[in-house]
Amino acid sequence: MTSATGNAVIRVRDLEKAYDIGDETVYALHGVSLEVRRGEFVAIMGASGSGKSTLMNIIGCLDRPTGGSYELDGVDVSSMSDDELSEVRNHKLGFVFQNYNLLPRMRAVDQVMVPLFYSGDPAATRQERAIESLRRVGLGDRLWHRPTEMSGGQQQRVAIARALVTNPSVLLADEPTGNLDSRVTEEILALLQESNEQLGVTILMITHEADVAECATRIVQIDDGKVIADRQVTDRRRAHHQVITADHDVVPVPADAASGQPTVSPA
Amino acid sequence: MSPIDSLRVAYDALTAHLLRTILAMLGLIIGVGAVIALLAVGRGSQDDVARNIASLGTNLLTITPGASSQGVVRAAAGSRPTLTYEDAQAIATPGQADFVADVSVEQVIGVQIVVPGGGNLSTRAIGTTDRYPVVRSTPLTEGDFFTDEQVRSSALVVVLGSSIAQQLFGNDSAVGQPVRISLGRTGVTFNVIGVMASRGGTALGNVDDRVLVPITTMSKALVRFRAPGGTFVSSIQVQASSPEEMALAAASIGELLRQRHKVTEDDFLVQSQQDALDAASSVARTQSFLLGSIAGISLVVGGIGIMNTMLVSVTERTREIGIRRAVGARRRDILMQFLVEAVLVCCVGGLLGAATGIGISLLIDGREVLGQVMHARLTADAVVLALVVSVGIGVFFGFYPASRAARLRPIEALRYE
Repeated sequence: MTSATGNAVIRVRDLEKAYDIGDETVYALHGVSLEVRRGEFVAIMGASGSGKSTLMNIIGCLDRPTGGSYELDGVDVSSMSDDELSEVRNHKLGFVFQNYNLLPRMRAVDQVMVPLFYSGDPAATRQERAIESLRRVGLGDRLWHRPTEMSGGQQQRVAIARALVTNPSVLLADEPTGNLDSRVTEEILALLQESNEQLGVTILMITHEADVAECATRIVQIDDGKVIADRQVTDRRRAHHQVITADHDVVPVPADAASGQPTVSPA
Repeated sequence: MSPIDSLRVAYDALTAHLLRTILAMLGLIIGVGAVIALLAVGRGSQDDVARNIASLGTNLLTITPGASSQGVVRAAAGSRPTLTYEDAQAIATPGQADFVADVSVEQVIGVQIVVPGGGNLSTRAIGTTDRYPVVRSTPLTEGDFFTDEQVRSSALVVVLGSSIAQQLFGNDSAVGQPVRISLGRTGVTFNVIGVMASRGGTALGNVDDRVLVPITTMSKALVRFRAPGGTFVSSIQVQASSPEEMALAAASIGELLRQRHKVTEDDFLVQSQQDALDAASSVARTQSFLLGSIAGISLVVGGIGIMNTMLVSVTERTREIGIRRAVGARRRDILMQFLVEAVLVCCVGGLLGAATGIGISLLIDGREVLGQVMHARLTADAVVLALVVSVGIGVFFGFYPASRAARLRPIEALRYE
């Protein structure tokens, strides 16, 4: 349910994204309206080609709409310059991708420090903040590892630490568990739920797995460039509870709220 | 992003592909090294020329036959003999020309020398006066030069250049030996009275293989032809009383010669050593400019190599650019990142190139290459120039790849496989 309350973080109205292919105009988004309140965990579902990724890219200020309006934190971003959009991405948004998108050869701490380079953070506190963010995602003992020295789940944790290090308003996750097996998927989902609840960061997560979407508080379904369904999750699934300690790897323990075994198949 | 951060990122990126970075630098290293080494060699040969000319005697004026005109026909300079021994004598006569300290003449003809053991030796004979050793500042190693008296009496005496003496008599003393010099069918036996010190080959030719005879003897005994105007000479050497009075001396001599030749327009040319020095060093300058230009081309080629490598690097790191843009890098952050990388490559390449160039210069300085002693003079300005140019190359050839990286749209860069 979209309710027009004052604390909407994302307010999208009649959003359109059209491509001219020859004489034809193809709409990737055809009038999407959506409001996301602060602290929500929204799963966006849809088949491939439904326009869900285009919507994410526009909300993530990586792409511009061809029509409609988009307000982030009460500010209209559709008319911003390229530099202003860079700043918005840096300060207000965090990204988590399916393929982690870490920088090659860089140590975990350096990866997480990259957004802080561009935010003009003082050099003295950068590393401290990066280490703190890595501890929060349970990688206290992997601070100096490079991507090639880490598992997929660990790499995705580094990506989440990088996304959260600037304390963004919104975390955008594009199929964050798409490349992970079922056990690690649960770990990552638990981490996202925890971040959502403990840090209060609003999360938008694209997925096409029903039981991954069930971990969110709200599910929006997109098809053919339009929102076709939008519902609150009544029976929210808790991802396998995690014990996260500062200096040790994640230890999964069975959670009481878990509804059966997850059936995640690789994308 | 602060400059220090940019440098660190650039350093990491460059060391990640160390071999590629070094290969990209190589062109620049060679280019900068070549520019510095060739400029040093050029400067060294300029010095050589200057040294040679200075050693021929300062405050020396050389008078050569100039263009003469007969009616409307104007001949090229030096094409017709206009200067005579008598002109030189007039210049030397006190009260005729001012600021003149010493005068000598030189008339050069090709002769054969009969070698005592058999066979002939082709060389050049210089007909001159007793003032030659003073004016040309060349001392003798053995015996004496001919005297004023011997010049006046057309004595059959000869002074040998050092290499001729070596060829004719080996290590034996030449003084007192008879030498037969012939011009055409005329052969005359001369008595060796001295041997000149070696001057070595210079930019102006080697004088060690010449023989020196009195001008009067050359005219009477060898050439055996006396033109109505007097004894022709190919040049007159005048030593001015001081370097400051060279111009005054030249003017005074000019006036006297115009009077004697009864012309209004000069049919002779008065040149100072400075003129010769200027001419020779302008040749040397042109030479080193040409050498430098050729080396400069290799710098440009080096720059293109760097641009190529940077373009490959940008394409290869498209995803990285996308990621950086996604987490907040602005276009100019990306531009700076790649520009700093290119400039860093060029700085390091330039420094290595400068070290190479300096090394080569030091290596060849004073060494004999192809029978000639090479001199190389390193100057700070050449090194600084080469370094500045290599940084410039970094900016120039790094800008296009960097701006291409900065222009990438974040969403497309992120999706790049």
